[in-house]
Amino acid sequence: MEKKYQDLEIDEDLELERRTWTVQRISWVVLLLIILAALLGFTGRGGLLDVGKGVAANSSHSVDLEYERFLRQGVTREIKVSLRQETTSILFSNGFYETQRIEQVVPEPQKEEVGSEGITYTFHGVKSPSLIIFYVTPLKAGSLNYTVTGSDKEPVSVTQFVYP
Amino acid sequence: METIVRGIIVYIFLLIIFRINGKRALTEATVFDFVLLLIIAETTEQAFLGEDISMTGSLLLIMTLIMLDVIMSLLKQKFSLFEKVVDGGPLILMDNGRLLYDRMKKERIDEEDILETARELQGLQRLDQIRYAILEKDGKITIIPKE
Repeated sequence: MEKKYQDLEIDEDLELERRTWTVQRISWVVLLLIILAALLGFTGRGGLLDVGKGVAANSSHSVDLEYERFLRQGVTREIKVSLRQETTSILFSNGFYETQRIEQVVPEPQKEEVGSEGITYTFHGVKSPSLIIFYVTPLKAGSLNYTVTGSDKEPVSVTQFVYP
Repeated sequence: METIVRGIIVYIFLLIIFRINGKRALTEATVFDFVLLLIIAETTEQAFLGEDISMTGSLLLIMTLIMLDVIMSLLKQKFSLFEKVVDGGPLILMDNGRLLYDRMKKERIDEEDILETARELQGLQRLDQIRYAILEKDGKITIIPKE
């Protein structure tokens, strides 16, 4: 210790303290902005402004999707699929189940098949329009892309982001 | 692997977040500071382990944290600037009986905090009995009384 302050042997670095104060105050603003963004819904799990709500449909509106743009790893959320026409089967491309765990499908499908194109759910006796809810848990952080296809082979693509 | 990555990220995050808060972040000055510490500890646990309840996960995490701590202390020993940036340094709040208000304001400390420490550590009754008051890097205030 070589620094001295009058008779006090102290290693005070006022320049560093000043810089620290500046960085601290800037960081407070950044933290506040992150919290605000989270409140608005940019970090998933709902928000005041519904910024996280995503909707997608194909041109004929035979498949309508309602999903969340921002998800969190390990947190179960739902995807709502509205089917019109006589669509009774839905095909999700591989991206849907590869990094997600499908917890529950309501109403329960009669048949589930995993093929090279993806996973197909077949529903019998559903009236048009019908609502099907998928409860899924993302298992990997990062971007999540997949397509949803009804009986009329017109795919709807979905992009979600999974926070770690 | 995930456990180790989580450990490193949370360690660095906590290091930064408490540095952002300031020296006085967790000095347990009030009862609520203590409660806050408990809540943060509880919340951190989730981020560390997630759904992993295995013993391997816990042991790996402990090893990661201990190694991070060793690495940090080695770096601090080798590079004094690194130590200063990470830990900060002491700051004089009262110089020869004169309070340095601008510094106190920046560190969010008032006369009452200094008096409290003066009573606790030195049994002093008044500000004019204090020669130096120093905010140490761990957030505690130390008092040097007038002779």
